[in-house]
Amino acid sequence: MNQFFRLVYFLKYAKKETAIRILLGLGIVGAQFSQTWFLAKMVIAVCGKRNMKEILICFLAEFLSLFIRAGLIKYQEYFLKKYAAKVKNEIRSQILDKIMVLGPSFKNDQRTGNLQSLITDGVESLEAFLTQYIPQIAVVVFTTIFITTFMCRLDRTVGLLLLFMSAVTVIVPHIFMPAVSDVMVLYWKEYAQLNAQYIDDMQGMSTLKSLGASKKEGKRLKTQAIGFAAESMRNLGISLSDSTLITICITAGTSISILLSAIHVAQGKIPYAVLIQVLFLAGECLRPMNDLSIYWHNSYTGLSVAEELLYVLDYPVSEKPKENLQNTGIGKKPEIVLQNLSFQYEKDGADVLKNVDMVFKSGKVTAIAGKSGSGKSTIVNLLLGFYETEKNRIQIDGKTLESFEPDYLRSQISVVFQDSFLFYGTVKDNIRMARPEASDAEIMQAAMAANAHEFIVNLPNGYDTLVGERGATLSGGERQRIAIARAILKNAPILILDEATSSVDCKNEQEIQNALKEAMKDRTTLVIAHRMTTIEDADKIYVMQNGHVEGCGTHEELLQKDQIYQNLVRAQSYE
Amino acid sequence: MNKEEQKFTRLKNVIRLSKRLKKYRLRMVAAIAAGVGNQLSIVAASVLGAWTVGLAIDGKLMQELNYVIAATIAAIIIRIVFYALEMWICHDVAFKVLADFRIQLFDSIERVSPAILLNMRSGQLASTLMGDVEIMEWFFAHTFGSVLVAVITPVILMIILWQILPILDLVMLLFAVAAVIIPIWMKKKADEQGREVREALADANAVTLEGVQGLKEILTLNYRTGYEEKNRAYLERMYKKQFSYSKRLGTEGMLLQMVLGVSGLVAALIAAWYVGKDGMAASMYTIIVVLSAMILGPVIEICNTARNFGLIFAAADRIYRVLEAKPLVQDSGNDINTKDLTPEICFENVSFRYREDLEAAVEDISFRIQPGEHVAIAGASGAGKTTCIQLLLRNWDTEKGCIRIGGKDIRDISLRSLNEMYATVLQDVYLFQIPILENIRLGRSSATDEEVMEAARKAFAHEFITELPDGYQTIAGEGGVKLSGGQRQRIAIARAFLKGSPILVFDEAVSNLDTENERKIQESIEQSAQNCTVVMIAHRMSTIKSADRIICMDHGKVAEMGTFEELMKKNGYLKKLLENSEDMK
Repeated sequence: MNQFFRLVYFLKYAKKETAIRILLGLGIVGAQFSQTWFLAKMVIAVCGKRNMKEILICFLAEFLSLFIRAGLIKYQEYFLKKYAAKVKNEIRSQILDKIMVLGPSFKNDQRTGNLQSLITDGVESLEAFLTQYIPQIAVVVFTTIFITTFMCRLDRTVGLLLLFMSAVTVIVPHIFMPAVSDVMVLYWKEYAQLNAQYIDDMQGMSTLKSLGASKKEGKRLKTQAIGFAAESMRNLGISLSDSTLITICITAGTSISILLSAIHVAQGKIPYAVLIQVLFLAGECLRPMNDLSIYWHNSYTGLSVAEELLYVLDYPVSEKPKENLQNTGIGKKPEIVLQNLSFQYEKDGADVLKNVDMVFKSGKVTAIAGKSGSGKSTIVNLLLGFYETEKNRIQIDGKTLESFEPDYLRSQISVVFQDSFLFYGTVKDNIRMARPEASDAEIMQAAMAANAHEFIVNLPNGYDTLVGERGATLSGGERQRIAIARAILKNAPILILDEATSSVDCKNEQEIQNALKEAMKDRTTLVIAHRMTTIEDADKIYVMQNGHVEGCGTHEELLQKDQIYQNLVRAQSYE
Repeated sequence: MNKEEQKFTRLKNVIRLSKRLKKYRLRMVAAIAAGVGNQLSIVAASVLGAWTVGLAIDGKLMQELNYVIAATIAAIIIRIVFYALEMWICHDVAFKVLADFRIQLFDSIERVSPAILLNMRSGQLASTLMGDVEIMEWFFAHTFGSVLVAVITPVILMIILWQILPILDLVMLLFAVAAVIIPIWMKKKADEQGREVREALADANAVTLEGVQGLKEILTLNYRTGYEEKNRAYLERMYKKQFSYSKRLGTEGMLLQMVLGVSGLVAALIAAWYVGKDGMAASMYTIIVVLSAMILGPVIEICNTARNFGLIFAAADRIYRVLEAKPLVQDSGNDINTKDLTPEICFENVSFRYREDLEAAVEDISFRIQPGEHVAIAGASGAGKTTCIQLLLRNWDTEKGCIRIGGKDIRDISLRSLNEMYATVLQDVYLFQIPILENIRLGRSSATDEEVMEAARKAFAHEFITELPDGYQTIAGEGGVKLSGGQRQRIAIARAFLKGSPILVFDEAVSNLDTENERKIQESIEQSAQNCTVVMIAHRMSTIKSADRIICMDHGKVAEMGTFEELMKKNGYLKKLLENSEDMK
């Protein structure tokens, strides 16, 4: 129930539209009611005195009501979309905002398929609840008051019966709500899971095929799809039982009202003209309830998403005092100090870093060497503020990392990851991301410096070639060089190369190394690499093993004294 | 597309969609019967009401009261039963058909990949599969049966009306035609808008997906505002399409309501003329008005659904585009006993281009790899190394020339058998969101846990796996995010070892490994793959050096071949290639 109101709260962002939606609903019900009322009047006139003038007036009034209603329906259809778009946009941007704030640490907890279906289909499915069901409640309340008063004046018993039926129709779904929402949460989870499964399998299809496992995976998905169909039916069972109850109320309410009135006429309590009005209007009284129950059913999927949606929106953001965050303070060649830094990815999980002390000297190149899994990349994640650490463990230019606005911090760091993501768009757009105001010439310069220019101009449309999702049409090395161009264009005082050249072939690697050397000038650079050649020239090298710093020094020093480093290099010299 | 063609497309869509119901024919008949029963019982209840009113007016109600009450209760019960039955059966069929769709879509993608993945963004593909299939529910649960119900019910009612006042049937028929014409008249626009809406939605979804997948880049490049703008622009575009779609929807809805309302009005007016004449009682007039107001109900309902036909058929089109996509290679070969085939690879004058308007990726290349030989393919990016592997795996067919394994043209071998010949480690390692144990076991589903671990040991993955929180049961997160590139690669290598095929193919497989692991794996390959033929794309000195023979490629051609020593002595292409690398020491 709490979730219910939390969702309604989103309508706050479209107050005016909600009011118009309610007025439109009232207008349509009113026009419908008056249309039917005039029809009843006409029937009374035809059956009674057969006054031609009266019949014609009723006919025209009915026609006019019909015309107004049709016009309102036309406008409502369009208006509803607009209204829904506004509400959905708001919710969508709130979730995206939240994901951006929470960063990769949160994303890694979730299956992307899940998050994606939440932001797209999930938000979409809230439309019925927010823009149809909720405003319709207001419509129902107003019309019930009006119509039952009207009916009471015709025949008190019928009026009260209809009021009772209306109340039942509105309440029944809410009695079913707990059962329905349980089933729906399950339903939605299965839907999202199936969705994630499909995305997973599609992206890995080449792998599956090459392993000859695709047929087996197909069988597994088949079981899941059939299971999902069964789940959908179970879900329908619940929703059907409550929609059946509502149908009973509406059918019985109408029929019994007419029967009661007929008896009253037979008993001489009311004139037959009233009976004819009841015949036509009884059904009309319950129509808004019928709409309400339809909207309620359409809301199911949306309500089942609520839990997940609110989970994301309520996910605690670190309790950092926002107002004290700094937007300045990092110099041209910052110095970075890690002090007694320990870290676990999960609470009570294994230590990924243990008491790490490091200094990345101003304007110098510092490298971290170590085997895969030694904790090198974790340091990068921490420097970028993707995960929270104990306070004061990382300092930049003497100020603690937590004191900086995350956006500011990241604007001062250029990173090239091992595995770079390219966005759907042109090559040029992908490079320009790093600095939106950059001119085409600057972009080309950056690309040249990253040794990417040559292959880019050889693409079908040069810099305007579209790169697909995950950059499917480019090789790993090409993708990497675009990422390096980005970093060069960004021109930040801190440069981090996180295994940046590991997927670039050797001929290109040399050229990129040269480009990177240029980029490293006058910057504080952190290089993480498993290829020794890329770090030999570093001013200082830290050697890591199992989350510990095991030694540091220059290449020559380490060669002489550090056994782990010697091992790393020996493995290399095997070449 | 001209009109004739479009008509055909829609008809074709209806036919091919209806074909899916064949399996469920009996249920469908039951659903339609229940639907007709439901509609008729709604009318019956209303007519019963009008009849009751007539009785009351004529002063005969009290004599018949017991019958009237019994009839009213019966009408309510019948209505409820039919309502529930129709809903239940229709949805049962619909959900089953949707499951069929999902299964078949997976099969088609499996059949045509990787070709289809190059043309469609996978986010888009997923939205096709899940979203469009959901839309099909509209067709199967709310359209197909309803159309027949909408035809049968009015016919029955018109027969009844014919007994009372035949002229009204003519009027009703006219309006029914008008109601049906409206969606047909707007069809072209509806189709076009439906397609546009779906496409815009798919694009918007793909962009949103990027926000999640490319989160790291967005944050580190301070691209958040830019991304949000892009996302908003795509959403705006989608909403714009939806607006024009709903504008048309509104116009159609308005017209349909007008038809329904005016038809009732006109019927009431005409019938009024007859009251008192031909001995028609006033109470009968009430029944006529009620009846004629309801005749077109089902027709209007179906036309209302028809307003969304554009959306439904656009979705159907996209589903069928995937279902009917042609694979790049024809699986026309025979199953063979792969044990009988010598793992000898032979390229004979092979040429290939990815698209006709592109340059040849490889041109007229020939080489032979002996059984048990370990061969490295070297060359700069774009030299055609990966293309050779793609052709060898038969992800594409050669344009000219042929590739033989054990003397047999690979096109004469079924894809399944061919797959058994290879164990591959590709450049992009994909890990599924299942435990690591299962990720490795994908290589051979019959392998025991012990065998899986043995393969992991050989790939030097065992150690780090056991150090993970849940060991072998650790779920390899979304795309294996939590593992480093080297770790992922070692899992992939373990997978390949486990598969145990006679030919091992490595596409830059060791590029993400650190030097120590690389050396170990290199040794491991040499030991465990002694009897295997190994083809390896290599750019590292150590890999190149360890191979029995090296094939150097340059601009789609074989530049030179030979052992490391021979090529070094020759002072040719390889020497030049390696000189540019600091790896050379």
